[in-house]
Amino acid sequence: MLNDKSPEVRQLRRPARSALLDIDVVAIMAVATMVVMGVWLRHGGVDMLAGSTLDRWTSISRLSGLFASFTGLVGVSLSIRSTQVERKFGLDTMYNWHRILGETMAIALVVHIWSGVMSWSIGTSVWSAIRDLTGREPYMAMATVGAVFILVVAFTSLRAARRRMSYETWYFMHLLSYAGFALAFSHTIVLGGDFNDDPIARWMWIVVHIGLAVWLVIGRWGRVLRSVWKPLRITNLESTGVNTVVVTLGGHALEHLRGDAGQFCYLRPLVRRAWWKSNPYSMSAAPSTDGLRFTIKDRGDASQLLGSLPLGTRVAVEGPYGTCTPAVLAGNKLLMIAGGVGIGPIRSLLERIGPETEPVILYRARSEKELVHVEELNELAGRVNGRVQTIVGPTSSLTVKDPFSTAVLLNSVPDLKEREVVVAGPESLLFAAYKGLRAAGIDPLDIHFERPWW
Amino acid sequence: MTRNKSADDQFPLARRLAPAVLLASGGVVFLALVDGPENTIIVNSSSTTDSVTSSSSSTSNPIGSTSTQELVCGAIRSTGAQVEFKWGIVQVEALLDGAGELCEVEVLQFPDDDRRSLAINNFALPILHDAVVVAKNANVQAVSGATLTSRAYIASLQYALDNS
Repeated sequence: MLNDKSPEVRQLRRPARSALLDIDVVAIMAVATMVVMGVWLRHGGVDMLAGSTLDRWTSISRLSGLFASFTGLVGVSLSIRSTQVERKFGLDTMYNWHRILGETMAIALVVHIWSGVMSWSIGTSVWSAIRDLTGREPYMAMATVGAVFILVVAFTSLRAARRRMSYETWYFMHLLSYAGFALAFSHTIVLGGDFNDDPIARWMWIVVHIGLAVWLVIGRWGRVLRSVWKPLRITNLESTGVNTVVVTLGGHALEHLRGDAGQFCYLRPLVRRAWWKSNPYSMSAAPSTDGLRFTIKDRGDASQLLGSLPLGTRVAVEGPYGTCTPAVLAGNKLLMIAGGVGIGPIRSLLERIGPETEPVILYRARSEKELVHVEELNELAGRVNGRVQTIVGPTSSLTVKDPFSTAVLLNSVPDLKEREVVVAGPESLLFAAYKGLRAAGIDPLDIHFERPWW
Repeated sequence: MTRNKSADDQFPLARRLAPAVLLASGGVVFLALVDGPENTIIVNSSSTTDSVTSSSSSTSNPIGSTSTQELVCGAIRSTGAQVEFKWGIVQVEALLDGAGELCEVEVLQFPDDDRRSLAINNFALPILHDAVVVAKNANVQAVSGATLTSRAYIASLQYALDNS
């Protein structure tokens, strides 16, 4: 049932716009890059490249070490989920960059270690240089352990490895990267020619690290604590479709939240068996003082648990996150493509868009039973001059081979090219729809979706 | 995924923490085994020999040769402290000219009991030698890959200079 907008039910305040401008981001990154390169240049990096074999390996080792630290620090700063950055880029883009920076750091780290070993092996053997990683130099053994941690974290984040373990196993392993950074820090300021003998560079380096650590503790972990301190409670549970539940969260803490349709939250049920599990779920209704509503499909232990908890259970909420809100839609006509529970964010967006959008909703599901919120969808779509079209059945049983090929899309939506598009659903659907839409000539900037990041 | 379902149900948190905890403990054990980083330098012996080369003055006439004698490297010799560090003992002798400027350094003692130390010293000591002779003091960078040796060398030399 839809909430008839009684006077007490207010929408939550919309999230504030980010104060960051493109130029700020470019400037920050440019300055940071210049500082890091400057540290290397200032201590003769280029001259050493042209020098003896020892100098050359040392220079490469220093540069790759600096670069590994730099990409690592920026990567960590993204995981803080700073509100300003999140409002500008969205958590999905931030985590994709986090991944790219993380893997880049791992490669730079391998180059750093290899070139360091090569520089030590001069006059002796590679094998004995490798043995020296265990601590001929001060703080080297710590740095080696730190590097192992970082490399394990990077390796377990590769798709193939990541798929083989549960989210939490991967996540706890990921926390070791904090230890990795801490262990590696001492060797950066004591060894090598960059921070060892240059007080300015050294203090800059120390201040950057301390600053980031403080930001991380306050920004990331402070946010977790706050969400636990002021949790919401489960106020309603309904099952719908196949293995799908609709969970509504309410409580006083709602008043402090800001959020909009199309966003998602991290939910952490505060019960003994699951307080350490925090997973993202899309809101399936525009957030209001009535509560936050999530339509959750049972995909595994965490999502299964949420539907089985008693009413009143406390749930810590982080977010809402996500930039795919009505604010990014320019008021053009809309095509909305949803797959499975991806219908949640589409349904919530429908509450907050105007009649000029005349939305066409293509709703893909594997079976009739899996369709959820169909009545609500029809009603909401009707209010804004839209229509809902379902595409039901296993892909093999469909009359068309690809339900999102350009031809099929144009057939159901003849004015496709005039429309902006919102897509929500599993990764396979996102890619299929994106491909078909791009082939139909839709501008990538007119296709809105949350990028998958794991 | 379903294989260990029962174990998973009993200790879900422990099971998920296990790999991270194992890896962290591995790191701690490793650090304990490799004896941790020793970067302290113990000044073992305070033996200094302030040997001003007055022996040569016996043959010379004080006025005429002062200026030339001042330029002779080794006019003043000062032995540095024996500095003990993780890989052995380093001791250097500073040679100064008559004006008290550092002009040459001789290594009296260095770790040579294992091949690795020998190899490192063979490349590091000449670099340190050249650096301090050019700088005319002990304020030089540690040689990358031989940080502890460099520190011991520099400490020994500083001692020699302070006591010359």
